Amino acid sequence: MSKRYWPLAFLLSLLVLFVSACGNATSASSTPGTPASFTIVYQPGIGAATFVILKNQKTLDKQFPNTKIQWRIVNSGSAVREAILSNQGQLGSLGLPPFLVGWDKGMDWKVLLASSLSDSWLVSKNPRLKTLKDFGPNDKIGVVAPDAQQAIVLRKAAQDQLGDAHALDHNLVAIGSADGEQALQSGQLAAQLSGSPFQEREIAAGGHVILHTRDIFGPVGAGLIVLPQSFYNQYPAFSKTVYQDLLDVTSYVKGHHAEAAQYLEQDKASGGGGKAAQFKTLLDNPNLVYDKTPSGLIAYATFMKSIGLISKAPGSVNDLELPTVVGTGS
Amino acid sequence: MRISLAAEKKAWTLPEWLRYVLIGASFIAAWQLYVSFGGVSQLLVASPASTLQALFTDTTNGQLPGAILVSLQNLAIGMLIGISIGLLLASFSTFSRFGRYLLTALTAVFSPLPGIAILPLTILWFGLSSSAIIFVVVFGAIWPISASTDTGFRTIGTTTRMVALNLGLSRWQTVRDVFLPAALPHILSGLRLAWAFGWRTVVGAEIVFGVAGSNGGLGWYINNARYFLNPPAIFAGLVVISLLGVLLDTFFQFIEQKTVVKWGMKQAQ
Repeated sequence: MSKRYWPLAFLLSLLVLFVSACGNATSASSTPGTPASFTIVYQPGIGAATFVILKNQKTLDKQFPNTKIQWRIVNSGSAVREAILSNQGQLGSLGLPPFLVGWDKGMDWKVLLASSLSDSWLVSKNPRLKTLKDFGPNDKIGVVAPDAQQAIVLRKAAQDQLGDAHALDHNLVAIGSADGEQALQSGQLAAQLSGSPFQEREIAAGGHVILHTRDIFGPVGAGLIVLPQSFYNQYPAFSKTVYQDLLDVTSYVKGHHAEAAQYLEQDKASGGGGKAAQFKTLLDNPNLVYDKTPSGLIAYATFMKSIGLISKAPGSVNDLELPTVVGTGS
Repeated sequence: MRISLAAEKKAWTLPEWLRYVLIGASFIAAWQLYVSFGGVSQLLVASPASTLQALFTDTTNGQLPGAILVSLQNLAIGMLIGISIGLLLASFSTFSRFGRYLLTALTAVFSPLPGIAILPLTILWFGLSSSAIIFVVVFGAIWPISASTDTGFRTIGTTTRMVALNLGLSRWQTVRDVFLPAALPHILSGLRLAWAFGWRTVVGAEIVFGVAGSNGGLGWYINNARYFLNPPAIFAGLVVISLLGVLLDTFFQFIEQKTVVKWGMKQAQ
């Protein structure tokens, strides 16, 4: 190589080294034992109640003034997973299947605690569709992601009712809950399986329920709040405080439905839109159960492994749990 | 007396194809080194080895071939319709003044719009079916083709035009037998551009579309791999998309070689 190109080659290699060094280094904050920033990633809907209140009461900000607390709303558990994978978030709220897919692929995240369990409905406005058997190849079903909890429950229902877990795979459309509601109203989707408050509005607009998710796996499968194991090990006191705060705010929500409903109405992006009265009705629903103990992890993992969506199932539920809930759950 | 010419000793240089292969190989080697020693998570960047494995797995289980067929099908149908409409518009523009104004106005307004931008609209009109994607491809293909065909028609030499008139050809015959071949270099470059746009639009639209299974092409394949945290499959999909793009372009180069270059209408590249 001619001598005059040496400086250019040198600069290029410096650039490459610099770019690869730019990474995801979480710098420590001025207070030892707490991170410089902490981002909570969650999804819109009734399940966001605890996060909305935690955000508005500014509990974490008061407890950790040197840590920048941030909140991000994303559309699906897969998006939560990506945020944590790329270090854009630390605490995530998602369903069991996207958590299990991440764990299966080697992510080091574990369950800090479970959040809540509610009943999701497969809603359709088409009177022809009364059971899963009525779905033809052109009847599209909206779910937030093909590996979302709703999509997995649908596959279990397909296995139970149609004999083949993958029978409806080609009908699935990955679409966010709010967009899916619009698509159902305009006839683009034949049915949607999302959650509250979207499904209640769809019923009010003339839809009917084809199946209830609580009938498929039973009363298990509360949403999970997860944290990377490495983060927990690095900041155990911080993590335990977050855990306790989440427990406290859950108690608050259980005892103050009207206030929680107000918060959800004000925070449209988190609540999914709707009036406080509607949210209060949802919170009053006995089908909405708050439970910090994870449940259904083995059942979901075994099912997902049996249909080839993950390659391994956990030996025991403790493999998936952080010290806060280890020894409990199923 | 001996007249001898010193034999010209030409230094042996690498054949061109070998140069490209070496560049490609060193790129792959650098990629593998980065993944192995750069400390980056395998969940963020897949190694060439795992990409190759994903390629093999998904080819043998039929997922990739199926996805490739769907994408190519969407592209082909969209292009056919787009080419026909583009040629019609250009012919109309050549033979009528109103046509010329129409083409200029339509091109000015619509050609800046990328196909993906009108996808939400086409989903509303055509529903969640491949018609929406095909419409978007058609939309993206019409403008480059009509513009280049129009230019091609306009730059046909007067001699050629007068010969056509002399022969008493009908309008349709004139277009088919005289104008189209004469405008072929421009038409081909318009086609090449339209195919390139169309390919990118198809893949992008399929990702935005989010529809599974039988309607899912390569864009859906990549998006699905993302949902199931399968970066090797994402990389494999990207490799396939790139290869197909190269193949399509090479196909057009081949056509150009056999027609306009052979006829001396264009310099070979």
